[in-house]
Amino acid sequence: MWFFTHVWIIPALMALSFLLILFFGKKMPKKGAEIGIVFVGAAFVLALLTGGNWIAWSNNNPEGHGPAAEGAALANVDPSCSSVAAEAAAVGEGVEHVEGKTEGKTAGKKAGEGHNEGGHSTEGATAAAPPIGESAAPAAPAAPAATEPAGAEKGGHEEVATRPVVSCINWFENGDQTISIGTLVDGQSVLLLIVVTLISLLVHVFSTDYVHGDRRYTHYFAFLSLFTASMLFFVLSENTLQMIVGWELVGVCSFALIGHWWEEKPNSDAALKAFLTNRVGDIGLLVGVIVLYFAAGKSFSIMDLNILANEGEISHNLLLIGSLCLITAVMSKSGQFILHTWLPDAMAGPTPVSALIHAATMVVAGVYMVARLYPVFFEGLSISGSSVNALSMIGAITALFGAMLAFVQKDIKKVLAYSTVSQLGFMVTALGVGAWTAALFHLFTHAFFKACLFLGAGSLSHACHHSFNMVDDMGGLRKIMPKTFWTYLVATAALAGVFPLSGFWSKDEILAGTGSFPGTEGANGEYHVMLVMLLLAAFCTAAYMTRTIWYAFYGEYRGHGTPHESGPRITTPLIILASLGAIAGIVNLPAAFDFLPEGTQTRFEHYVEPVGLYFPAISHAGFNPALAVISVLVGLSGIGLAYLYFFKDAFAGLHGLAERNKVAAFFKNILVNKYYFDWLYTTVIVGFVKGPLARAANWFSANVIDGTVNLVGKTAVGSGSWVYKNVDQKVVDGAVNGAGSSASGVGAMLRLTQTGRIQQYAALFFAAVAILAGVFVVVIG
Amino acid sequence: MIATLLQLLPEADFLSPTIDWHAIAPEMVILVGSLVLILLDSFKLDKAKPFMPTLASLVLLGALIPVITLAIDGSTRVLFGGSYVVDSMSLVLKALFLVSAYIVVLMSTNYVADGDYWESEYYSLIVAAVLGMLVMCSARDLLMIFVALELLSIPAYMLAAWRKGDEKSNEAGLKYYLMGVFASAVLLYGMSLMYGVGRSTRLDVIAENLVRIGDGRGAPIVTLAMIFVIIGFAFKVSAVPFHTWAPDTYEGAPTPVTAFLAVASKTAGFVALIQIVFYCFAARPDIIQPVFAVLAILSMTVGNLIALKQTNVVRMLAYSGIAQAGFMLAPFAVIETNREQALSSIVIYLVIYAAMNLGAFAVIIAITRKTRSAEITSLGGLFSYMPGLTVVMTIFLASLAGIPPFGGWYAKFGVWQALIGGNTALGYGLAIIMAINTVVAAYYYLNVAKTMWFDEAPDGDTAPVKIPFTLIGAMGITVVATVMFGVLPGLLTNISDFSPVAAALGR
Amino acid sequence: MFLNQFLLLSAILFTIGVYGVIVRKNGVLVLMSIELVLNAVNINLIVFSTYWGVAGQVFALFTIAIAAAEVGVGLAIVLLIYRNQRSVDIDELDEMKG
Repeated sequence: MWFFTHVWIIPALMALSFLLILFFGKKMPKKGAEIGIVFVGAAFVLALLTGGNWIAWSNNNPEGHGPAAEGAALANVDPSCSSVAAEAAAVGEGVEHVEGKTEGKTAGKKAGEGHNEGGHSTEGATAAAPPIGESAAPAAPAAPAATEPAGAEKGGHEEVATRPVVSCINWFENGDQTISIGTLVDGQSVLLLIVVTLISLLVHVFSTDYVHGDRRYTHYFAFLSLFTASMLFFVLSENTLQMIVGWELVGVCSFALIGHWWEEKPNSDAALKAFLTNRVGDIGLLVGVIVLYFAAGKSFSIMDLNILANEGEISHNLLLIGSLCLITAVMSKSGQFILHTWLPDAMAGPTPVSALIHAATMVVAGVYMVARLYPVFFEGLSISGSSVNALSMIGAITALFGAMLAFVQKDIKKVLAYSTVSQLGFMVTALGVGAWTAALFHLFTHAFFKACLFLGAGSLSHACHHSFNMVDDMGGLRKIMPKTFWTYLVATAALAGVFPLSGFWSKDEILAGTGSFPGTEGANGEYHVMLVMLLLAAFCTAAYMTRTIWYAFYGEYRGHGTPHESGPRITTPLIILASLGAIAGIVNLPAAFDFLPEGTQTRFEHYVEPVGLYFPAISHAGFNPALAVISVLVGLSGIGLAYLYFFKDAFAGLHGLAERNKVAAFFKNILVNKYYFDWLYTTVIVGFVKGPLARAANWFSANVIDGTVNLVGKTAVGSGSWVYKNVDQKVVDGAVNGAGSSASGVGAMLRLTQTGRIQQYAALFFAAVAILAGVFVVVIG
Repeated sequence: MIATLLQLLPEADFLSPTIDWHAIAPEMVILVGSLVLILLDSFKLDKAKPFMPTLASLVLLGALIPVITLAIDGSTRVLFGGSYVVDSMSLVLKALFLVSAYIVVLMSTNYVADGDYWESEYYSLIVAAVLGMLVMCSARDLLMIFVALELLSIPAYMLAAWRKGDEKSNEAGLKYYLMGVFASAVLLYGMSLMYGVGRSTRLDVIAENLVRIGDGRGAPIVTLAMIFVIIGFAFKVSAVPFHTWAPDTYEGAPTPVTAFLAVASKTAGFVALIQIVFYCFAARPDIIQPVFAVLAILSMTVGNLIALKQTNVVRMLAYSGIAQAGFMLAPFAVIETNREQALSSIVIYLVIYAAMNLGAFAVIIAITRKTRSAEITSLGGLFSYMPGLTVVMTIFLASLAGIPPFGGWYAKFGVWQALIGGNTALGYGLAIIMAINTVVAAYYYLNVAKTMWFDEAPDGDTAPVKIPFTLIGAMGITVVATVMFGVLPGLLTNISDFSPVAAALGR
Repeated sequence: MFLNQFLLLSAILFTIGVYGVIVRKNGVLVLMSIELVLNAVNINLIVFSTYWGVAGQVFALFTIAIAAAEVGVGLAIVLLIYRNQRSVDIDELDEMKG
């Protein structure tokens, strides 16, 4: 319990670290980096201890089913933060008394300590489970949902109820309304605590080498700390208002970090763009939160909201409106189509920052928010038993679209950026189809391999004179940088979903979660379209990642100078992340694997997914061997095709074919033609990727009609380039910028009314008086 | 003349009213203070000069003492037959005016002394204007409100034209003066009609008569009178389309005076609107709600759009102030259904607006000591040579844009809550328009921030300039207030809990 | 009483005053036009005070006194401009705009 009620210490540590670095950093021997590393290390250890405690705590959950037990499970929710939970707990009190508070505490401490001595990584937090699970054998669940029929009734779970711990203090009072600030600890927030602090720690270590000698070195570490603190604050939010504050803080920090090298104008533009695009989504968040505030009977508490939404106390329409508003926020923060444009531009920041933004903070905030308020979405979008909804649609489009765009990038970081967009699409789709655990599991595994890829890209550019252009400035680095190469390769394989790396398990769970593949049992609905789109996206993912490997590591070195392997402070984080990315899948092996010892399957689901009044009774899709084989085959065929094309030049023979056959020519143009890609790179991407806000806006206002014609004309040229050039860079970007430029155009016109002549002012004044008075006297009388 | 007047009184022999001296002690301190300032100047011209700002500060802070004792006492005091009321809300506003004026004095100290302007008159005029503002907080009578308005306006006209030799300042003064007097005339015409239909100058009596008249005979005159009166104050708060004077005057006037106009004078306009609307015109929500909705929408939209195109930071703040006034006008449009929250959200917004806007002006004064120009481009590269100042300015800009955890977000949040809590179509519409405007506004505020952080210094001159102690004090107070109101909004909600007041006038 | 006639008179005065403010180029004449508006106000107040008691007359007295103060300040500003620009044409003051 102590860890759960004092979990606020973790973000507080990071905030303190920020202040210390800001005030004393410059005077320290290592310019403040050591403060950051010590604090984030301490935060990580605390997070691990909390995780160990959470496992012990969950294992001690009292037995019993039904509403009374679920109510009793809420006994650790501070009544002053959630009145609804308190009522439910009071109902449960009579039947069930919560045992094992003290037991849980001591057991948890032991578990945490023991783990701390031996463990070195996050998966340890969950891997440490089995021994504890044995000590509390009765609590260990027998493979639950997979064998259950689809659409299990509420309360019909075999799982015992989760006991979340919510504590809060009064923040301020507004009239008769008390607004609190506090922490909500359950599996989900503990998971994020560990992921965020771990990635942040590794990024800190990596950065000491990577930004070594930077003139704002101290400033950089200060903001890393603040960024981590804001994300942790957000993750632990107890109410939606606190979420907004954390959400905005994360945005402000990203502004400072993306614009870190502001001497180059594109960087500061990118920072501004990231911030402004996010502001658009913030409106959605704000309106959504206010709608839900009234929906939950004037309460900001997440517990209140979730319980009421889950019990069907809130009208479906209100939840629908609220969830749609929140989806806008997710679209901007988590880079979903059509508000994703800031994300690739945000690559302008230092690479470790990109790793932090993409793997652990910022962009996962949107996914986390949906997961946190899941009952709202689950009920509002009628996820169960349906076959399409807004969330899954946006996610699937983003997944496919992002993967296609990644294929035509020249800059290695942009490839990874679009890859993140695509993978976030996977997570959002998973949430949209009811595969909650799969989404969080993918978030967890993705954090490792994506951080590894970004840091690997940083290591590459560190070697290649700070260029990220893999087509022109890299190549043949396999021999020169073996550590970077192998870690990059492992992470790529994990991302592509190669068995048995972590990406395979989480991606397979999402695919199964769509419930549309024949023979899959226990899913929440039948999302056929999503399955097809996700499979296509998985294919593209494998292909574009292979392409990256080719350009960066094979062939001849095309850059300047002599590249060299990076130092240990860069390679060690890479190795840690790559090994985690390889093995993290074992924490959630399918329940169908009954040949494994009992209590080793679905550990992730068991400890992370809440059961009880504040979470919908979702069912879990079972493991489907056929689907797993297909997803592996899709991945391998993507890799294979790209391999044949790039490594073996196998399609050279097709050149002749294309001249004879129109269909082949068409496909050649679309997919294969190397020269075509080169043309694409030189004319399209250089022209538009670097085009800052203003140029795209100009284009939009001057050429809307031309653009439409172009748009149609170029459809034939090729899907990847078309989407990238016209939809992404022109319409989406253009619309965003166009709104801005038309606003400033109107502003310029209105400005003309300010003539500087007093008497025209007086005339305007009196005209307004006359019109107002006239209209009102006539209308109202 | 006086004899005839006295004969007309109901009681033939004139009795002097009993006066609660404690209740009007703040006003008395200010009155005596401003007289002392003027007299001191006349008798001891050169010797007294250096002590003028100190003396003015002492007077302003001295007046804060009776405000505090009255607040501790806590009772509502009614004077002069109900024309003058000292209650918790008026005390909060009086404290706000006194502190704002004190910060303006801090900002002026070096500015006025360096420019070799007329110091003693400057401070006595500011103190005199503050007297008008204090009276405004308690006035519950048309005549009293009018006198308070003129008392605070006339010194402001002179202050705007303070730099006698500078043509811009002259122009600023004349524009402000002519538009101001014209607005006063329209206001007075409205008041005279209001007196005709309301049968009295006392707000509570007028309110009763407005209810009595309703839609009946004389209703068009009621509508006309209300609109004229509201417009008179809409000028003062620079609501669109009565805003035209503001940018020109702000640009031309000496910057501390601009801060005074943008904050104290605008707040006084809002206080007058609160008095008139909440205590009197609320009897006819069918008229005032649409009027305020129109003014609010126009102000926030037009203000923001024009602000996008500004190149001078003071003009940009002028237009941003117009937009902010639009946000503050919005809660008036839900007065019928959500009276209490509307009132407290406006007052909270006023307090936070004062802190962040005064702060922004203080920083601009500090910067222009070096750059000698208020063009936005001249702020380029500020971070490289005055990082502290840049951070402080960024806090104010972020607060103005409404980004947590600075005060501005809470102010906006309160208004949103009031609008949505009103549960009317008008309220929801305003909330949406306001949300869109908040995004537009973020653009030009952040653009300034971007220039300061990311751009190069325009002429490569990166020598830092010394900031006088008083200016640092002004920035310190405002930055602490801005951050504190954002992090601990509870401080504000406690002092602005007027539910008893609002309930009393709820009827 | 001829209430309507007085109100009409004041309305006409008000309109003439507003017209003067908007079209007159000479600063002093603009000031005089504003005086017309204020006189319209005074007529209103005094007419209504015959119905509702002395408060209107008191108000009118205040208006006259304050108008005098306003005009004093106004003339001072106009003089200031005359001294700097040798003209009282308010149309020439458009240095700041936009």
